Amino acid sequence: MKANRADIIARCVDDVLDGRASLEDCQRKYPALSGELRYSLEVAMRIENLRPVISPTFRESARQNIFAGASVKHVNYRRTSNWMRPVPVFHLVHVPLAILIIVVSLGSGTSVVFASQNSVPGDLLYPVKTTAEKAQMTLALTPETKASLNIKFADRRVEEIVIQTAAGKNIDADVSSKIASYIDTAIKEIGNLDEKGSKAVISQLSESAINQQVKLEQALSESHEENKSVLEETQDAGRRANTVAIVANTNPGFLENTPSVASADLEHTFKIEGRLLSTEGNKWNIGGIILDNVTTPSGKKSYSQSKQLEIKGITRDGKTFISSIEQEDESNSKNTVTIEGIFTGASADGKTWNISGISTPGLVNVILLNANTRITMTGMVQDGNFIATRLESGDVLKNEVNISGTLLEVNEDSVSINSAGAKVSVRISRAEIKTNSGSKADRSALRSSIGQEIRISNLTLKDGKLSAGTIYISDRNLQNTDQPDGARQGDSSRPRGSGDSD
Amino acid sequence: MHQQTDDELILRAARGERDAFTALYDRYIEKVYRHVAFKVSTQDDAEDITQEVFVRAWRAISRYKRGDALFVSWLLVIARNLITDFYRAKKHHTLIEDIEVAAGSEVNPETIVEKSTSDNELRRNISRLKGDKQKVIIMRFIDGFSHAEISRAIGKSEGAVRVIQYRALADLKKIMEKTLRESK
Repeated sequence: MKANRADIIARCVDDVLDGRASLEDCQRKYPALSGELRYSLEVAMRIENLRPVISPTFRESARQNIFAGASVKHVNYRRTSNWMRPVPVFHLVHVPLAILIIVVSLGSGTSVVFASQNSVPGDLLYPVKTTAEKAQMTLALTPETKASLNIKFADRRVEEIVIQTAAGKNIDADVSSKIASYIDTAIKEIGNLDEKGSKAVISQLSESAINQQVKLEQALSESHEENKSVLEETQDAGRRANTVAIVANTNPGFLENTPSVASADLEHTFKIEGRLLSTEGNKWNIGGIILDNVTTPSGKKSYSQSKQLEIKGITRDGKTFISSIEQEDESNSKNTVTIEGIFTGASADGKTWNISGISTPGLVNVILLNANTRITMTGMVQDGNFIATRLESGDVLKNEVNISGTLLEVNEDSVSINSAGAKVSVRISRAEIKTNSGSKADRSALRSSIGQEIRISNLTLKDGKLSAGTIYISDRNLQNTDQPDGARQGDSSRPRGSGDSD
Repeated sequence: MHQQTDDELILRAARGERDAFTALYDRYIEKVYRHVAFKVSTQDDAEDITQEVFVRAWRAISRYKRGDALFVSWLLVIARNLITDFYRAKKHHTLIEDIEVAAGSEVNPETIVEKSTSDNELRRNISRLKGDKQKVIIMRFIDGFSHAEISRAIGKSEGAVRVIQYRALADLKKIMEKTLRESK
């Protein structure tokens, strides 16, 4: 019996971690092992999160160095085993020849290149910095390395404009388009990788985009008027890059027709909550709202009809890319449907509204809104059709930095979340915790959200660390916090591999 | 397109075909890196050692015999030897402490996970697991091997590997309980 128990728990942990099942599925199948399953999975996930991530740049350079006979830079190795011949002690570092030639031809040497790293446009050493970057780019042979370098150089340009802003200098008007160009090139190279090979670089893109947005938000608050539009454009590019990372992380098809961060269409994400009424081929009906040409996250299991779902995604080129699907607590559902997205226009008779690329029955007698307004429309389903009953609108939240992701751990003064494969740590000592509907919540409810999607808004950066302003969790975790341990069948880890769009 | 087996690639690499060894490199670099990086403190050191594993493997490929061990196991043996040398050179020691299971009241498992585990603490707790338990936990959740691969690497059945995993997670729970009680 004990062997069976061990076997069941080990197999369930495997299935959940690999996205083949959810914790709920396993708990339903083996209710007597419910608590042990949950605990085992939480520990296993925590251990998995310690898993080191290999740098794409190192992977590429090592691939070449193993044949060049290049060896370690720091440590002397001695003979360790009878079957291995003695290995000489190495002191030399073998520098790729191209970089050596370029550095020597500058007449400067590596120490000058190193000294130029903190320079900004206008400094004497800045041309050394950009020349060294061009040299690195010519040596980049694989899409992975090229993508990684472009992301790194975008980060550097952002760092430079932040430094310039703090010093009260004027920023070049075209720097935001240069940064966008680096990001677009990175996205294009990621599109040349297979799904497995792209994961690490997509994580790098997401992490970079989040940090860029936060740095730029703080720079904006210190900036004089002349620099503000460049900073805002750069922030737009970062926010859109994060959207690309989040969607592409789970839905690689999104990169087939390479998206560009210069396009405002990447702001047009949507969220729909409603009952899944039908899926005919790739046409979904959720609470009477029709999604055409649906592409679901890879590895996602199919969903039964009449389940209450929360679906997030983006539409592009006539296709609907879903980045996350979460099954809602049935007890809260009733017959309500909501769609949140960017209103971009309506039909001539006002009956059909375009919300983030989705044609939705609108509210006919409502004064039409300005385009590019983010709205939330609530309604109900009648005979398979969506009937709108309420509308809320607000300004497009362009400058508020938000991140969403799966909550991994809750510590005394910080949380970690998985955002597009990147593990992001955020301080929470001054954060407010609320549910998505706005009710106040506490740390206990936050801890109950481990393994689930949360949203963190009003991020700031201090001493190099992100701090949260407000954390939003699911309403059902507020309800579950008073239940005794072992009775919490409702909150659970979702199958991995799902992302989120902002 | 037929994906070549390890044996086919090793045979070709032993004849000096670099693209065959590169294919093996691509196949196993992540697992080796994860294994090394989990055990050493800095990214630089992890990259140095990982690269050295493959440099040595390339040099010794003609002497690798299929019957001795799986190719990836061979790589990990090289890695472990290099890590040992690394710590000798730095005069570091890794202590593996005995697990003492304290009798007493159960602590709420969610509290254990939340309160007793910073990343470093979790690493230390894993290092306190003994023998095959530590090996299975690291190979499964850090290196990313499947149960089937672990069973071939350590010479036990897949069922036995799952039992070891189950016991190791249970042991970690006990270690965390002990840590939590001590911290109060």
